[in-house]
Amino acid sequence: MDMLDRYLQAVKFLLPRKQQDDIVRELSENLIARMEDREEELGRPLDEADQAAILREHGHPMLVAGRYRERQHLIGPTFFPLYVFALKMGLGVALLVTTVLAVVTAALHGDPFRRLLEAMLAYPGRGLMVFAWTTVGFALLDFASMQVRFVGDWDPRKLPKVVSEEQQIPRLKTLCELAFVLLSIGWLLLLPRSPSLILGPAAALVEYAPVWRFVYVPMVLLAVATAILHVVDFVRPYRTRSRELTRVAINVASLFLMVFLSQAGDLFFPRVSSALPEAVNVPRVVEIINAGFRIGMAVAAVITAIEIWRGVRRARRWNGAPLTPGSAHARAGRW
Amino acid sequence: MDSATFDNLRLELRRGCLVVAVLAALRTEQYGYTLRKLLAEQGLNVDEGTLYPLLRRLETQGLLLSEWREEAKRNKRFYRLSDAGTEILTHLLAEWRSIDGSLNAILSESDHGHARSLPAGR
Repeated sequence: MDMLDRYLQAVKFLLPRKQQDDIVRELSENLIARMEDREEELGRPLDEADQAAILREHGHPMLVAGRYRERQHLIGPTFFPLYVFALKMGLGVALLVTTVLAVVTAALHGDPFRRLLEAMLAYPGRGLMVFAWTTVGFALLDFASMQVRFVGDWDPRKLPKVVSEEQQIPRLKTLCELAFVLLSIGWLLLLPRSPSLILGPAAALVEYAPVWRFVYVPMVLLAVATAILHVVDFVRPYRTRSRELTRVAINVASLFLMVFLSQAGDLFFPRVSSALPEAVNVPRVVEIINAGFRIGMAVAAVITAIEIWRGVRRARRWNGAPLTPGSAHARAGRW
Repeated sequence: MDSATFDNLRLELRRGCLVVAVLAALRTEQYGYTLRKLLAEQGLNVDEGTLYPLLRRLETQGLLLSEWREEAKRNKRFYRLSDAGTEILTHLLAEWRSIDGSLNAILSESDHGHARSLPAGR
């Protein structure tokens, strides 16, 4: 019975600790009874191959022991779809944060290729952390739900409104826009100390006009508001009237800043410094930069005005009427 | 036919029936191995790796009672239906008969429908 003992030992190792001895004792009795029956059938004692066949049929020790465990999964089918969604979102945000950090570090310390490579090498570690914490979180949630069964107690009247295809906001689009806005915020925050980020080599020749002091903080605040709006869009990926109006308000404020800047005269002045190279025609450079900014500002103002018009149109068309049952899904061809 | 799909569906179908069969069989006291043999004799072959943990689970749920007792000079763990198990079994059997009746009605209706849709003379 050496093989049976080895088998039972292997099963015991993986059994719940409190029940180990009792289960092994029962399994042992059942297997011995079966082996005795087999001996009777064959009319001879069992050899090693016969014993092995019975144990193999009984099941792999890991599988047998696993079936005695009350909890056989980490995250059950109730939370699994939500878990996959959270995991995708977490890994996406980790990638975004990694990229933004790489760009900001590169802007501060230079050597962009090395910074980007370092960030990409750091991503698997961050991704693994996101994976581990998300899994642990959902496993705890699943365990807690088994104790209180709160999923069984829900009210269909509290479900979110049906969202038509027209009202949906693609998450990928939102994520790209959020990445762009976060990069812009990082860039804006670096501008006061690193004018070369906006002026390039000309930063040695020119300096900001005082008007920037008035518009800088509102510009940063508007960018932060836009980022918050994108985060909300990502979490709840459908249009609402209030969010549409907020977007319009942000665009109106941005347009106001652009108009204010375009009315403020020159945005950059020649730098007062004795170290300017004599061969460079500084007034001409400043003139070109100011002209370039005015053109850029005009283009941005037109784009913002179009966005305002589109936003107002969407908000005005909003009727908020409930959809007929199943109509949104039927239109999307999902049923 | 995809045999893996069939195996999965068959497993799901048998899983619920197995609990009813075990509870029904344990109206008479049995220990694990004899219960397995009894079920096999009635045409219900069950893996030991499935049956023995199931007995434990049903006992934890209060549907079975068990005790270690000596039989043929060996200590064995005997299981039998508890009062709660008897009550549950009554409900499960009623449910089983209701499902069986519904399924038969659906099948006979679809057979009639099929016969009606066949061309005359076939």
